[in-house]
Amino acid sequence: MDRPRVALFVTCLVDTLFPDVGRATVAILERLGCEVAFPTEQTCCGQAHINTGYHRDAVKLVRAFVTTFEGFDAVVAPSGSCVGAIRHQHAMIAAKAGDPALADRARAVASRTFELSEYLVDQLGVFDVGAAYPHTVTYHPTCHSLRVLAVGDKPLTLLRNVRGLTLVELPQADQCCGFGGTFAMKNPDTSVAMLTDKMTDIISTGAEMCAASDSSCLMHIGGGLSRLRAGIRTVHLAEILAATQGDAP
Amino acid sequence: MTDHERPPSPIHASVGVGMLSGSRTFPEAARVALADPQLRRNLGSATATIRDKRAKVVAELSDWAQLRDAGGAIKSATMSALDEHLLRLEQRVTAAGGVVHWASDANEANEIVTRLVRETGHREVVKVKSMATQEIGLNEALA
Repeated sequence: MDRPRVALFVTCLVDTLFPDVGRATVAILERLGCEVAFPTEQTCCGQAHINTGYHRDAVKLVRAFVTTFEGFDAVVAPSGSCVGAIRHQHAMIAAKAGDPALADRARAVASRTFELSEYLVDQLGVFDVGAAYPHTVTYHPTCHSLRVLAVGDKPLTLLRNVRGLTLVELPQADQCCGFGGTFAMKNPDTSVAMLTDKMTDIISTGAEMCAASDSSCLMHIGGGLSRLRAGIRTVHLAEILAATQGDAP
Repeated sequence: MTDHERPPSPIHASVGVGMLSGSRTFPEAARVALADPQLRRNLGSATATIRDKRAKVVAELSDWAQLRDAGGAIKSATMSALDEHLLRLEQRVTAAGGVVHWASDANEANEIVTRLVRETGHREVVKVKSMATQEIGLNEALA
């Protein structure tokens, strides 16, 4: 049987600031029998550009994404945010620029682009990825994955099947952490006030780690927790699922 | 200038009208408001209360999201056919003995209401809270 040919869409934040998340994603997929490629010509998905109104400029990024990834069976990204943008914005940007052919290609690639938990549960049909991570973890469902991708409880299901992991429910979990990408730049005070509420809830769980499917939110939450010297670390879902000997990052 | 040559009201409420826009940008105003502990506690409490109520009601129906979409679709369709609906409303209200006034902008609407109030001979008005009247600045016009 042919192994699925999967491409890793690493995303800007992971590529520049959290490369271990990318490595962890590859490790999980390969452990589950995928042939994983990393096309080096990939670029940003363009979400920040699109959300800031640079729709014409973003066409180049849509074209680059489509050209880079349309040859693969599936594209997997450790980011609900970027996958959400690809699914909801790419075809629209191409159509708006008057390029219906690109819009069709964008739609086709987007239909094969998945956030990690989606790919594992829906495409590979796997709940137990053979991970071991003996820590108390609370999970924050990030806005894009929760509301745009509607991943539901896929990440929690995957975490519940990790050996040794104690999952503690996060109170008011569906409240936004306040990052929101460009929102944090334009409304820093409100963003941090929202973060304070999120951190209060995280700390109340008594968990050692706060996990999520998006490095953007984890960066925001982790930055806040470190300033508080709260003693709680942030960890990406991929890093937990990649761990097999309980080796925490 | 005749009434019809007068420039229409601006689309956005001017500063001081209907308390809809202030002199500071949102981020500036937010920085000040966020430093007020009482305000944060009050807002936090009110928000938590509303969310809890909403969560309870939403939990009653498994298809609430589809219902919300359906409701949204009805609103959109109605808004697109507002011209038909308003004319029919006028017919029905008139047939029932009421009077319908048409205003092309905020200024005209405020003038009509002010005139109607003056015609009663009274100087005090009781009105309900209404976003539409805030947007046209009716309170300021009547004052």
